[in-house]
Amino acid sequence: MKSYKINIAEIVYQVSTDETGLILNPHPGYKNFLLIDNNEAPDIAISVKTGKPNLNGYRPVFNASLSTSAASLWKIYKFENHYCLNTRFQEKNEVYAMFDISFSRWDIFIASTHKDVLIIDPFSYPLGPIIMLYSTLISNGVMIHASGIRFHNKGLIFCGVSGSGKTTISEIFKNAGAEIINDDRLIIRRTGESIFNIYNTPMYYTDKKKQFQLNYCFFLEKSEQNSCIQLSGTASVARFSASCLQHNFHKDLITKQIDTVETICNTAATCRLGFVPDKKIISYVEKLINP
Amino acid sequence: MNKIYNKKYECVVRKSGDEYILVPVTDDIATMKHIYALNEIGMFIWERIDGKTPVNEIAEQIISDYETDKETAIRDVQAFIKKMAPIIEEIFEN
Repeated sequence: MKSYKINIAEIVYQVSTDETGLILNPHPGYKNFLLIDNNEAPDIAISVKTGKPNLNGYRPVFNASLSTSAASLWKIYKFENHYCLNTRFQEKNEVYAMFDISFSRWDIFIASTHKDVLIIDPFSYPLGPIIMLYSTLISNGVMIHASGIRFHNKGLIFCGVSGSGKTTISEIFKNAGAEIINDDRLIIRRTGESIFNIYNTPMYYTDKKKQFQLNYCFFLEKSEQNSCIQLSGTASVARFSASCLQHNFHKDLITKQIDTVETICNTAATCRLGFVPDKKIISYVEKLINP
Repeated sequence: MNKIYNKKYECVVRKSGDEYILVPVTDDIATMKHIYALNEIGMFIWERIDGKTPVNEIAEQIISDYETDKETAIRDVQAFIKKMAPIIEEIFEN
């Protein structure tokens, strides 16, 4: 494939290459997000080529790393108003993604010594999710580690640190008839004056595209009994923000994210939900969302 | 209580109503999750975490500005230091 478009959370990305030696091969997880015979202008244009860009004058401004490891996951370099994100595809091909702070155009360079045809998925981890993250942030949305469900015609998300029970509670609700939008990563994006939608994103497995209006956000806590404490103001903004993906190398991105989260927390009900992982949580939540 | 602390990271501070959101600007993925909601007293203390002002002096300023008792002021500062531990560090004078 030489060009394709995908729609993720109503943001249209066009990925293309002019090079005869490059074939774009999106992962099967993107299959149901592909746009077929679509002529609308993309929001984000991504051009892919082989080679290495000229990085003279660029200096490092961000080095995404884990406290537990000295290894860098990716780095961002800056020269004047231009940025370069450097990472690797599947620990093999070195990749340089050039962009500016509008995030509307990405020029991806793949440093390859490949003599034959190179088949590549430009949305491979980590570059794909990073492009999605920044594109979402500038489009009145956030990416969040959370489980989202549609239940009794209400959109609910469950946020929490790893091990807090996001997948467990989704399964309990699924068994009670809820539709799981996704149990790990979601986009929450504004679609109307005071409407935010929950969207799934492409994953390593194939799933259909899903979305539903966000009504409730629950911050999960393990508890000996089911309990709910409503949050408001900065307490809800801080809790929600902590669950968001936020590789924010630029202060304007942090400010943009706080703006969006503040609006989300003024639109949807936010609560700390202490829960016992059994089916009694169903009736407990039903009383909360249908008082 | 005569310890001195400094901020480890530059932070984006946003006022929201009578409270504040504080987000550290960092490339450490674990630290990114430390996002704080501060009330007025919390922001008062945060502004004085400057690598120079000892904790007991911050407590005295709280007593003076907020007409609170010493015990409450010390408890507020100690709780703040504990809460903000991931993004502040103690300064040891040579």
